[in-house]
Amino acid sequence: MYSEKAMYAPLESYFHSRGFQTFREVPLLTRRIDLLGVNHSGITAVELKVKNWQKALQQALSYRLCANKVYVAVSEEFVHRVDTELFGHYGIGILSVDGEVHPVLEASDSQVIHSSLLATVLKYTEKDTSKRAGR
Amino acid sequence: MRVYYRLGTAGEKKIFENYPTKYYGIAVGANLAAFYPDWLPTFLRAVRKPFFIDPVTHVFARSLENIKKDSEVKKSFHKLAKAYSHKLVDLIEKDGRQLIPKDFLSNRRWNTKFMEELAKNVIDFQMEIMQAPSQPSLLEYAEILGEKIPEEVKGPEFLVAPYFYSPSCHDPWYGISLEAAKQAISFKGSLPLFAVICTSRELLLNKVDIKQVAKDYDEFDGYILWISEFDEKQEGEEYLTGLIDMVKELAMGKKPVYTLYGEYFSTMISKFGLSGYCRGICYGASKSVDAAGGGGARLPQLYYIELNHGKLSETIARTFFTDNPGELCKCEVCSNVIKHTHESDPTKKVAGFFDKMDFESTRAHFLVVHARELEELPVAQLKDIVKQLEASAQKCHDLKAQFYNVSDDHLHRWRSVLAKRI
Repeated sequence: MYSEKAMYAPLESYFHSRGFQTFREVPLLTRRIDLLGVNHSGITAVELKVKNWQKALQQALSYRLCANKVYVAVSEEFVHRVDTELFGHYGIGILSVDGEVHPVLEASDSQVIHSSLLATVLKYTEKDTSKRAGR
Repeated sequence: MRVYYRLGTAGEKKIFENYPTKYYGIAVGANLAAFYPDWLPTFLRAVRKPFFIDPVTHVFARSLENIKKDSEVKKSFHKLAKAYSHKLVDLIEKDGRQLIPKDFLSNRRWNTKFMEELAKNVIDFQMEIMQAPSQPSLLEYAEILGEKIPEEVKGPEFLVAPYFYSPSCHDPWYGISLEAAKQAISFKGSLPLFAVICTSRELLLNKVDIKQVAKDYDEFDGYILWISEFDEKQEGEEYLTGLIDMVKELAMGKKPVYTLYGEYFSTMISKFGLSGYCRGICYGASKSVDAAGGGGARLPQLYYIELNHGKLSETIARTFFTDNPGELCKCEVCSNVIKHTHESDPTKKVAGFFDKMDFESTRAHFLVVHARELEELPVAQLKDIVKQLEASAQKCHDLKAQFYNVSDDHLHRWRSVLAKRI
């Protein structure tokens, strides 16, 4: 069984290969987005959960306020338990992780972005990028 | 139904002053009163609301770590200990320990000297609270200008006897707390004296103990119940039922019964004799006797939601209302904020609303909405309250509220407990 921590590396590789710059633990008000990818097409947010997809959905719903696309990444072992219809209803995508990343459900474009939250998240990524460049 | 909001810090002054019609009275911790001997009477005179002082004597019988900061007893508690008893100061300073049952005994009998000293000083502290010198208040300026002056607040609405936490009637602290409270009766003068019954959740499950408490405390003019760590939203049905049993038993004496920490469930059980309750403004609806005392913690910014009578973090509130914009509150505070967003698109309206909703507005919204709940509930019949809870739970289900972390579990438990009493 995959631990949440072990899910980061394959997910980061997956997003890097698609031209995304990635950031871990990005603050969003009272929460933290597990993984955030930024590229020319916009922001993608990912909530990592080994098996508790209901909890993941709660978090992912908030990410829609600041990201163009939102995914929940679940361990391959438990992905069959996820209610794909419900995720589809909210436009949340599903990624299955087993050392590699397999898209199960494509995310829709978020229609509920709060511009102030988007700006805050972008500001964080810019600051983090400058910090990395200065290292 | 009376609600007394607890004054948590001096910084809360404005919210109390700006919404005086939205609450009945103010509860003030004696540690805060000890720390602000000049400011507090000025504030209480200006706000002109009934108030009482919670003597918080229990803290001196719990671990002193609860009232320490940087290894020192916080100034406010040190001042309070000094006001209450020299022996207490010696114990804290020289012996570095809290009160223990032995301190209240002398030759296997009550140490009446210490008990009397403590009881007298606890009562005097409350009686003298308005006597501290204060700067000229707005009222005094008004008087100079020849304006009509309303009757001044002269002192607390009622006195509160010293109290200590005892988990059951068989704990040594039960007898000590009762005796210390009884000692206070002779010092109360013409003011009503309330006893605090500060106990555990477990006592609520014991009907014999509940009857015993009511019998032992029958000499007092009113009761304040503090069930340590009792959280109305988390409790199982047996504990909620126990609270109703306790309130009913105490209310049989036709004296006021309050809870020191409570929320919507407390409002509903006015049907069983609860006269009122205390809490912080949109925080502090439950408290452990071992919670760190003396404030200093930053108050959380939480948004009150009528749907489940709960509080949401900004993240959850934004998410929930973005998907359910029709559920946005229409109270006077929220309507005013919404008006200033100048947005017609529902998502932009919700986003703009929370961008503008600052800490003070969030708390004002709570005061306004809860004041309305407090007006409506006591006049409603129990069967209608149960129906209302059913409707709220159904709405939560229809809106898939659980996926937003907007829980409805407590609504089902409250409904079940109250339905059995119809």
